[in-house]
Amino acid sequence: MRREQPQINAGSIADIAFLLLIFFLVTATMDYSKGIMRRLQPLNDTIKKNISEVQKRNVLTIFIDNKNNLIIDKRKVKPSEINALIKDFIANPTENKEKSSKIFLSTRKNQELFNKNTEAANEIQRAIDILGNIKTSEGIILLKYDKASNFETYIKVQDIIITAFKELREAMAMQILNKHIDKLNQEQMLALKTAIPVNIAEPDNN
Amino acid sequence: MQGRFIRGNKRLKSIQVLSTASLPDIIFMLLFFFMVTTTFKTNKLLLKFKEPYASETVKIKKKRLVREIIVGYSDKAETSIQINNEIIKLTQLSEYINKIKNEAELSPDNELIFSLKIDKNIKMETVNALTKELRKANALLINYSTLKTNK
Repeated sequence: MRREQPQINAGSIADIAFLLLIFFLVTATMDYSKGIMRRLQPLNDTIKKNISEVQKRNVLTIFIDNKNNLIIDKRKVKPSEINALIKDFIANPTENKEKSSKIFLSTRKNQELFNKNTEAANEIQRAIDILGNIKTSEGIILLKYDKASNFETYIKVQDIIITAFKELREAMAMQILNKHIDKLNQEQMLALKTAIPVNIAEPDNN
Repeated sequence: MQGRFIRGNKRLKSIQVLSTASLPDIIFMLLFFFMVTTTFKTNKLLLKFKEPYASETVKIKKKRLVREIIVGYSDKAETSIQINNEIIKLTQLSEYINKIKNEAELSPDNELIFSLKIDKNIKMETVNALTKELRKANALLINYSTLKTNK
């Protein structure tokens, strides 16, 4: 006589699992925040001083007026034009004296050492090791806006600026490292970001 | 595949039956996936807002360091600020942020990230005032929440 082995009815395990799954599907969210990361400037006066010290040629001012028009150099520009303007301003291939000046990375490193920013100086040294002692721009983008302008326009301008800098970095990656920007390792990416930092200044728009 | 055999015929007819033994395994895998990737949202949505679009966005990796500040429109179409579950005035923002920072109990190299979910039609005047309060409260790491487009 063959005794039938007692078995747990496994049919209900699937039901339990289904119920738990449906519970999670209904209550949980795959909520994640996506957006533009920014570090705000601490509230003190040193930033205001720095803006006035920068040479006029190294500042590209983008102004958003109350009708959400984008104004550069007192004339209205279309969003599509800004990308080329920024890239030309920063890259300045013809060494135009009206556009941003360029200095060697080693000079930048010495400036940081002079200001006792050893961490920044080390980052620049690592960039020199990876990219060579190249000339990089001292230009900054000054973003001003009227009180009545839209947040949407502000984000659009930020987006255009970041895209322009990303394309500048892509070009440098291709030119110096001969690789596509997505194929760089973390160190090379960091060196690229140190060489071409996204410098956006926003004065206290009061 | 196990077939069931119908007795009684010389030629055994077999009915193929799909083995459902692995069904719980599949379901458990799906369940674990959801348990790991999702979060329980504890904040109520009190304000209406539509985020602007941007293409160069980053996903925030350390989700537990994120605190949301929503600037949107209440039912009466007024511009309001929501933090945690309450609608607050701009002047109260500093004290709320300090309270959040103290509750967070962070280690020194971790910093709270404030995700600003701002409606796209909000005027920059409001945004400027908001960022000024954030700077006052020394909450400097922020993320402008946007929807993604492929420009």
